Amino acid sequence: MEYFLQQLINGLTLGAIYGLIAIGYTMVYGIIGMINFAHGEIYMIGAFVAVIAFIVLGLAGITWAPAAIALVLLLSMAFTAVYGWTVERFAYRPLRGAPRLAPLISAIGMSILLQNYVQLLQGARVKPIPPVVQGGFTIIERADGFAVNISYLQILIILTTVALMAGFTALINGTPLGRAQRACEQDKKMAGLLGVDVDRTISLTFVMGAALAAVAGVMVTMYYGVIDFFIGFLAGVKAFTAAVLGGIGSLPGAMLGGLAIGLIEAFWSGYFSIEYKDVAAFSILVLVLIFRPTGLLGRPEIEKV
Amino acid sequence: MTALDTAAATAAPVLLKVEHLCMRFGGLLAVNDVSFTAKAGQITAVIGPNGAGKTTVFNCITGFYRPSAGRLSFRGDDGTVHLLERLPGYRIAGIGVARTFQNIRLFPRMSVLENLMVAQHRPLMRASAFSVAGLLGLPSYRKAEREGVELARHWLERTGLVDVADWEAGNLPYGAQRRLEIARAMCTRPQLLCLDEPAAGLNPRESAELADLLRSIRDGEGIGVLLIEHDMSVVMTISDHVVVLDYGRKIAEGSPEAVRSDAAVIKAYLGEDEDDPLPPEVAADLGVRVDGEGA
Repeated sequence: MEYFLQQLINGLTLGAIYGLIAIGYTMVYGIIGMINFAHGEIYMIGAFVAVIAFIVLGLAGITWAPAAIALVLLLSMAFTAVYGWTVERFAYRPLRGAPRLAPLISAIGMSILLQNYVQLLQGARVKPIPPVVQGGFTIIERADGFAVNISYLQILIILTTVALMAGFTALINGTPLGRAQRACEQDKKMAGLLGVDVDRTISLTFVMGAALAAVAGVMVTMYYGVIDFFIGFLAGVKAFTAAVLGGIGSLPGAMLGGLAIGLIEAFWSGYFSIEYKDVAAFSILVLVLIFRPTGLLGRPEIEKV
Repeated sequence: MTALDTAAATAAPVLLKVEHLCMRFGGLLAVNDVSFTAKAGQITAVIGPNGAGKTTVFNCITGFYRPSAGRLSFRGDDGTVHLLERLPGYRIAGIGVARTFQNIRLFPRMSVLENLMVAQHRPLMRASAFSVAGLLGLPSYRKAEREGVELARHWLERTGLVDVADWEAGNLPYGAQRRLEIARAMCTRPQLLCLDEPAAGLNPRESAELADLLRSIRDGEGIGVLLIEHDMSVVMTISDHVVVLDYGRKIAEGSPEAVRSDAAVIKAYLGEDEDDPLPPEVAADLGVRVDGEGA
């Protein structure tokens, strides 16, 4: 029971991070119907900005954790937002209206480009940072000494994710921008005729997705303490899996899918073997695609004649 | 129409001036040197047989197509003249041109009210400072949104859709979807409302209601309405001015009465007169000699 609780906490933390990245996939898919394979790399860049920013802030003497984390989050979101905008502007917008395969290839190219760019600039070696937030609560302690812990960092990750999700849902449902995004999702031409600047709406979608990925990048940097230029690939594929699992195009679906993948991984590594946790996550994806191709919360696409 | 009405109609300011519009698709000249004007406070109908180029003219006006040649000048409500052929599509709504489509293009998975709110995107986006104020729920944005909902409500009342404001637009019956398209176009606060076959698929009662709605828009809002329509009962009862196209050319123009009795229009709709010469191959089959041939 205690062990289960511990894995639940670990799984939720992991799931929150996957969910944050998955939102970027699902939003971009919703609005322009393509998979942005460079999104994992955007997350990786967010993590790198976080490492650099933590070091610079440390040198500048800002070591009070809340201030440092807030600053790093802002910096990282700003940088990756610019990356997200640039990727859309130069790799995808020229291909708008091209066959669906073209932007997909362009996205894979962008992903390779960004990976190698970071590798060349920052080196291939693993980058560590000292722990920023330490300590936590012990929830239950068993007689034999096994304790269920939740660290302050885990609480921070989960709370940040919940807050961002709430803000995001409000943005999509209650603001003109969110309404424009949903309108563009359904009929871009008509949205344009009603005065919505479609290109700018799409750009802003990329910017928002990138900013959320940056938050995930910062959290991972603090959580694991080490990053390298290749972390975007696996995290990207996992988050993409989460988006498909939840039903691609659906925001609550992305979050739910992220949590599901995180929990599956945590429980699998807790009860079976840690080596096969990725196999477990992806097997679930295969099963879902076979039995529920639209995902958990996706709406079936009905073609009207 | 009394003499006074006629005088008022001619004095109405010109909203849209189409001059020598041509649209070429490869080897096909879909619109060939068409010129006409649409005035404020008037309903201008564009009619013609299938394939006459009516919708192409509309697509040029609303920025879907770049015309191959010609000029489209539109006078905005502040008096500045905009050249529509040079504006990107999303700007055209901003200066006061709205349109509906032959095949309905609502946002089917948004509520009826939200469809009308999207139409007010530009003013709301400005009021919300790119959604920042909207997200924080600042009073300035709340006020703007309340006004937006008020405008939407006004048009829902005019089109009889208040009771279904929360429905998903795609679930509305067909006639209601047509009316919602018009309500949505009106929520952009247009100077010129372009309607592409608004009566298509409506039953006679719905057509009559539509005619009433269009009349009330013309008289109440004082804006110009440009209409493509096949339903002659609608065209002939509500139009102030009719433009007839055939094979991409303008063949007649004038009041509904004048157009109805125009020889070229009757020919375009009903075919040739009996005393026209027979096509040569038919004549040959019948053993009749055609003038200017076989002499």
